[in-house]
Amino acid sequence: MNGRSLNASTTWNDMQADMGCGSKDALSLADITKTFRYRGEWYPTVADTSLSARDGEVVSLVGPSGCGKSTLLNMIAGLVVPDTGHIACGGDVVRGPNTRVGYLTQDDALLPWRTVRSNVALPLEIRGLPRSERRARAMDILGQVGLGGFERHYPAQLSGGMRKRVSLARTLVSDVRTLLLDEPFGALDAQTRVLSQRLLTSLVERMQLTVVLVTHDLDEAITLSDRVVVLSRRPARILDVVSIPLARPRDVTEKSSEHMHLYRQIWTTLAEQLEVKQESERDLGPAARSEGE
Amino acid sequence: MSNQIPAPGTAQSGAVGMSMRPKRVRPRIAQAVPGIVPLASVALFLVVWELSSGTLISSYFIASPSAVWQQLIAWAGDGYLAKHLVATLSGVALSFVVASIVGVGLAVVLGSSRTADRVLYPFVVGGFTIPRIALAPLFIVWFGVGFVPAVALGVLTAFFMVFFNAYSGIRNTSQALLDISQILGASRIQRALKFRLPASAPFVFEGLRVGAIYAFHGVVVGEIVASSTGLGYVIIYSATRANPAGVFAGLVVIGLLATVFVAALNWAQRHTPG
Ligand SMILES: Nc1ncnc2c1ncn2[C@@H]1O[C@H](COP(=O)(O)OP(=O)(O)OP(=O)(O)O)[C@@H](O)[C@H]1O
Ligand SMILES: [Mg+2]
Repeated sequence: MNGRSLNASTTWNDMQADMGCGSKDALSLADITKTFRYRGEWYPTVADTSLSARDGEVVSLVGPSGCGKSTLLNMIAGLVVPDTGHIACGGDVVRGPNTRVGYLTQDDALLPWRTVRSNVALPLEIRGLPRSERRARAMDILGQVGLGGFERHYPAQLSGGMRKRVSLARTLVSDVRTLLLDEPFGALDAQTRVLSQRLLTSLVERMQLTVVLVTHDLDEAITLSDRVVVLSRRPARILDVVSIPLARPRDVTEKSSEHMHLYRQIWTTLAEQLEVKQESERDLGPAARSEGE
Repeated sequence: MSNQIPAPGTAQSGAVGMSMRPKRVRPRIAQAVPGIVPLASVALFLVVWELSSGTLISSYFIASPSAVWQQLIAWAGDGYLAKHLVATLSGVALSFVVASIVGVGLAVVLGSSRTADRVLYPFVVGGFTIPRIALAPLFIVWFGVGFVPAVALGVLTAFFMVFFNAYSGIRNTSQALLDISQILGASRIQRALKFRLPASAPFVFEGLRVGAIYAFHGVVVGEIVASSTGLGYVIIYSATRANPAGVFAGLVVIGLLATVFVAALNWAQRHTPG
């Protein structure tokens, strides 16, 4: 449905066999490859990527724009099928839409015809929970993301930051243990972003969530994560995995010298990718190509 | 159409003879009383019509406004008009409701299931290409002459408008929303009813609006060819009785009805959210 498989060589049996070990990981990706076909041409988007996240770990993905970060999340969420390799979530192989993760997509994708409360209650509605329970849980989670009192508003009546928090509430309401967050605070102003990051940190710590966070903001990646994964330009490969040994609780507004050191380390790896990217424009992808010749 | 009164300050500021665009000069009265120009033109038209009917043109072909008015008064007095008006209105309402339910329902099924789409879409398009009026004889065979074939024709005429609008909306639901529906584990039916259908509400409403007008057209045509009640029947009956005033009176009622109808639908559309 989403994209096309190039050569799905691995069989399900192989995958199941592989699954025996490493079950401690909340999430594991092994040898993932994905190539998209667009107007008759192939676009390798993810190449040989293996990645895992322990239970309760926060892993950030940073990489140049268009390198395949969202595609990776889409594969974990089961929206896109990898060509090779396998993905396991909580010990189960992902095949088809993965409802064990909460996925906050890059565009918040709220349903504009539903109120805030009804948007947040939607996952429970789909699971067929009784109305009173849906309401109670939606109201509870809305309070936790600081949106109590806005339950009757429509998404169009909210600011961008509030909409993001509604989406966050919608992903949290179904008691998932794993969150995929795709640039959750990218479009927000600096102050709102800091507040949202604090909110996320406290929720993640309190609920003991496993998180895969895609971000362009290295300070955010360092402050929120246990590990930062630096990806190459498309096709995404893992260039570096940086452990963040900073003591918690951390705060984005307080950058220690250790923080700055980690920042420079990640930035150096990333900057090379940005330079290379400019040199080989023609290898960028559909959007960039059409501007070419 | 656009008798827009310029906002204060804008009219003078931009166009003091120096502007490159030729400035349209409107008489003051036309600006002061919006709608006076169309009213005046209609009044003039009626006067010319009245004077020429029976003089320039035989009143057998074109009945004069006064004759039409007398005919309307007579029909209004003896309940004839009310009876046929009710027949037409109830026919339109019935065919609109049926066409809406079937049209939206089928659009949801075809718009959300690839298999259903492949199997059924050729038949819908095939049906669409047949002129609706060509099916009237069939309806007469099935239902006899009367209210039912007129409604059947109204249903068929309205159905395609409702269907194609709703269908295109449902087919074009944004991928982001469909992704969300998958992430949340929605079933096929939930995806169709909780995501695709509400997401295409503007298309559905447009289909219903156009469908209502088409239901009206279909019913009136059906009444002309296959019924013994309704305004369409009034027209054809007057025509066969060599009563041009009756034909024109019927047309006037239909015209007024259509105008009110369209205005009501536009009002309804403006006052529905989304
Ligand atoms: N369904 C698809 N069909 C074809 N190409 C696709 C598809 N999805 C993604 N791509 C291509 O894959 C590449 C990576 O896209 P992706 O959205 O994963 O990038 P990203 O790293 O999330 O970028 P950004 O940081 O800008 O969000 C892009 O070149 C994009 O055009
Ligand atoms: Mg992205």
